[in-house]
Amino acid sequence: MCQTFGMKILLVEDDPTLGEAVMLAARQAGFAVDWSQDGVQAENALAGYAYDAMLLDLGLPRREGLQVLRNLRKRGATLPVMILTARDTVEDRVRGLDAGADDYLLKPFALDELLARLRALLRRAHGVADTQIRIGRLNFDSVKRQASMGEAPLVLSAREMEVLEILLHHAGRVTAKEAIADRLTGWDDGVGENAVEVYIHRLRRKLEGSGVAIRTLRGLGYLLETER
Amino acid sequence: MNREKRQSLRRQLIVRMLAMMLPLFILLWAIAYFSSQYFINAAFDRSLMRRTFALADRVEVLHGRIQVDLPVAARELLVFDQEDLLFHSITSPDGRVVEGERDMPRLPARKPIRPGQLIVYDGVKDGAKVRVAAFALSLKGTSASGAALVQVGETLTRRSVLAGRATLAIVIPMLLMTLTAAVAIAFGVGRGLEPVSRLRDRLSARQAFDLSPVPLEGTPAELRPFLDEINSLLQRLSEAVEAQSRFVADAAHQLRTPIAGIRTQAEAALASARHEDAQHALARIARSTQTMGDLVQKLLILARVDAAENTLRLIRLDGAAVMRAVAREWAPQALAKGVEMGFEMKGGEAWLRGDAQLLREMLANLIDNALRYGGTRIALTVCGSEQGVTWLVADNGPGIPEPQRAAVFAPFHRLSAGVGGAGLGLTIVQRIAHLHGAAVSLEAGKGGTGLVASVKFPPA
Repeated sequence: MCQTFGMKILLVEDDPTLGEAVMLAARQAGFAVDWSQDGVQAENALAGYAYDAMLLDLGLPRREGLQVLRNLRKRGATLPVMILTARDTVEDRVRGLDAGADDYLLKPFALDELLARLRALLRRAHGVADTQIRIGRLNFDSVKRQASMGEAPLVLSAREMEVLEILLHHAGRVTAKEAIADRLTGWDDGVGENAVEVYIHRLRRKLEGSGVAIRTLRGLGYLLETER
Repeated sequence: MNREKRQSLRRQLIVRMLAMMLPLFILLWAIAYFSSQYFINAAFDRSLMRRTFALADRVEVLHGRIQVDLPVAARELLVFDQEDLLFHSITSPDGRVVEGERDMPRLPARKPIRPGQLIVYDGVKDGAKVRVAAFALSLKGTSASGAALVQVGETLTRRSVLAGRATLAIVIPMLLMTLTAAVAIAFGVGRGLEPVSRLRDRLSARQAFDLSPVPLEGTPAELRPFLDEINSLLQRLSEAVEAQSRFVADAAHQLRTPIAGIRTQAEAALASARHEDAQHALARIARSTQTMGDLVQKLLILARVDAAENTLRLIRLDGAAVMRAVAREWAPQALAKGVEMGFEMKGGEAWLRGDAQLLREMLANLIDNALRYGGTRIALTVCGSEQGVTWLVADNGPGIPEPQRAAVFAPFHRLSAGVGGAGLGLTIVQRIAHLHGAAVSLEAGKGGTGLVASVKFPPA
């Protein structure tokens, strides 16, 4: 579990029911929360304190959420910002991300998802995620290029290591077989999709007992999942 | 049918033209008849006069008596004709008929004939109309003073035959001209109305929701005001439709924040509630708001599909790639629910014409349905063929009984309670399929188990 102690976030939401619920839930999850109910109030809060993250509604009284975000980025502030909004067209998303948002969550959302994404944002902002990945009992360090199961190091060939890294980076999503073959071809010549199957087969055996399994989805690719 | 006939432009034009032509035609006929009679009479009268003079030349006075020296050949000539009856007579000044017919039509009473004068007049002989030339011949050397009367007459058969022919020679071309004009009008109206029937074909081929203006190129100028009116009506209609779907979208939008409020409150309270009853109630509230959120989302999509109707641009897409991408997106969620998802390609290349965003929405709804109502496996298949691409979404769930399959496309129709669907998924699927000219159908799976939803696209 990521450490949230001492993290302070700014919640900007003009709907009292939703704002109050998010504030309570975030506090329960261990965050310190300030709540602003309009754009101007939010800018004043941002000027007065260096928050670790901001949850921002777009349709705000007095000053639009996107304007608050643009002003913030103009001042050079880099804190992660997640937009909470009812607008969900592709153009809306693009506009939000262009204004400097890091994530975009559509209302109504599940609280669990909000908190999970908030934690991910904070992790990324503190530069942890990219080098060290931990799933089940499996640890992976992409800088040292080492994998271990619990304390015991996992012996993998260079190509097996590469395949595992791709799968880990796509954890929770389906990785196409062609995508893996393409990546391997980058530094080795002519790796066919059949070869990919061989590496997956070997990896699967080596990952037994790690709590992590590679699932094959017919016609779609592979999915790394945590065993229950 | 009757009304249609009455309103036929072609018919109206022809009837009006003929109505105008008919009196003109009768007038022309009369003019032709009388003028040809006039000229023919003039010519025939001249010949009648010549013969009268020739006969007069034969009259001599011998010993105070009038004598006519008429050779047989000349007499024959005066009597014989193929068609008409010829007759003549010579009357001495004392009223005695010297030669020829005794019973001549009487001279017109009003104008007494002077010596040396020749007149031509109409009369009746033996019940037939005749034309007679009369010459008053002055005689010298007779005891009787005055003039002898030389008359030559003929019936009118040839005159009237010729007059009739001359009239026909004028009237028949005129008649032909009129008929030609009628045919030309009938044909011309057909040709002239060709743009109208082309326009009708184009309008009847329209999709129900296509409210784009009718293109004006190639339409006759006479139709412009009419088309302008239609276009302005279409414009107002599409504005109204747009306003309505914008209203639905706005309403759905506005609902999102309060729903998020309720759901988040319920979930937050659920985490801290101690009492079991409260927990149960909060869980119910959270689930209901989730369903409500789902419904609002689908209403928004429907409104967006409606709005896309007029601005839709279909482009060439790889139907297999679209399906695979959506399948990859949904696979983790399916696995989390214990449902295995697979994808398969059959046949050749799977090109189709479509809007990628809408097609993804359609597939997402089909997969969502299979996840809600289906069993433990979802098989996605794309079949490429000459006749077009077919997408199949098959599950091994309970399926839908045949009699109910048509009804599930109706908005808000749901098969079973408690699965939390909005009842709009298949409505969205069908609307999007319709925009692509594709056909959606539901069938039982292999061996009669499960459900297979198929979307059949037209060839790209």
